[in-house]
Amino acid sequence: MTPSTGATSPLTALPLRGRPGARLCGSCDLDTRQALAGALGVVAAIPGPVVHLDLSAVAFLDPAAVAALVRASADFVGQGRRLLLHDPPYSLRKVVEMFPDECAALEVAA
Amino acid sequence: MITVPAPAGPGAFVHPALFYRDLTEYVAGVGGFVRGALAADEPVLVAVPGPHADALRESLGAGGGAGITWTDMTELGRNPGRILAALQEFADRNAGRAARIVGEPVWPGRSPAEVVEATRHEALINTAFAGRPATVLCPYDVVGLAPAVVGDARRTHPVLIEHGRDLPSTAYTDAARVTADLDRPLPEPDGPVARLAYTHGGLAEVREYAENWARGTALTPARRSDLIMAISEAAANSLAHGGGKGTLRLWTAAGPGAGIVVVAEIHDGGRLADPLAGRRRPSLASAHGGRGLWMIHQLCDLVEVRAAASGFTLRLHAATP
Repeated sequence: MTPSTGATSPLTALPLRGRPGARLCGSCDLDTRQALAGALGVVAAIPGPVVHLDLSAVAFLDPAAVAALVRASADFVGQGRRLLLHDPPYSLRKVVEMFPDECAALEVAA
Repeated sequence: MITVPAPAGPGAFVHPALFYRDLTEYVAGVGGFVRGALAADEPVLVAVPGPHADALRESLGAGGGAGITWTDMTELGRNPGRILAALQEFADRNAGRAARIVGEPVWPGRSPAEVVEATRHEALINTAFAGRPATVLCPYDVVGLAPAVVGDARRTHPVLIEHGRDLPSTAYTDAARVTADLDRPLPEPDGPVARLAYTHGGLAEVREYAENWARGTALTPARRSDLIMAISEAAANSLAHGGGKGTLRLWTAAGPGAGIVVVAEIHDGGRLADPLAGRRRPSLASAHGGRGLWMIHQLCDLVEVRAAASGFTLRLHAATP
């Protein structure tokens, strides 16, 4: 049997260059729930009418992480702002496909 | 002539098995049930294999199938663990009216593993629909199916329609007892098995390990990603509800026909506290294990479930093209 190392894969967030927003890096699951909540808190504090969230370096999002993105997007809309997602992985698109009504608040850049 | 079950009352749930010997009996019994429901302006869902739907449509005549919701059971019910959520969704959409459903989850040619899960589904219908005003009529091909399969149908249906008569089933058995009887040990895989133990902090490694292994199979990239999502949900349930650790095993097996099936087994120390977990559409925001199980049922071609004293086991099947 291969033993698991037990190492939590880190989830990091870095500011975007050239436009307001952040780039998430890593995986969003039960093991990184707190890190995602922290990152989305930072993103919410970025000023501007449109804030960009680059997901191109996110390997995986579980449904709870997508639910957190939905809540964050709804908060932006409540403030008259937009949270624009870029390059989400397959897992996010699949969760949206499975929960279309609840994910309607998500805005993914074309 | 086959009699058609008459709903016992506006608040009653009726779950008869209709034992048929040929297509003529099928069309007479099921068609009569559907025509009666349409005449009473009740919402009708027909979830049966495609050829049976074709025969019913033909018997109903031009325009006779209007007002019926048709679902090909070989698609919806390919994984029997998906069916109950769909039936409940139909009843929920028609809340306040008595839903009339034809559900045929068992047909000749189903693999033994599929039949076990379809029988589990049949037992859990009784739990899920208890007290709801609805009828779920389940046709069984008593010529094409093995006697043991028909015997299980006698245990899971309170009422049998057989030889033109509509009678209580003397073999009818409580759902908890039936599902416990189905929780017999799974056969060990024949060939080589890849194995990984995991605990908190190990979910990314579980996905990476499964992904690397699955790249060596004939799964398409999309089906591989679906399976990885299902594995990740099952492993996360181990961490949250199954004692905080578990074991993943991966192997390939001969599938139905000439195909190869990829199997992922997740075993942990959990118990299935709610036998209906995952068999009703959850909300995205719900934080209990039912959301993960429901997703697993949607993502896989078959999910074998075993709740035993030694722990909780899921075998997730993904068919290769």
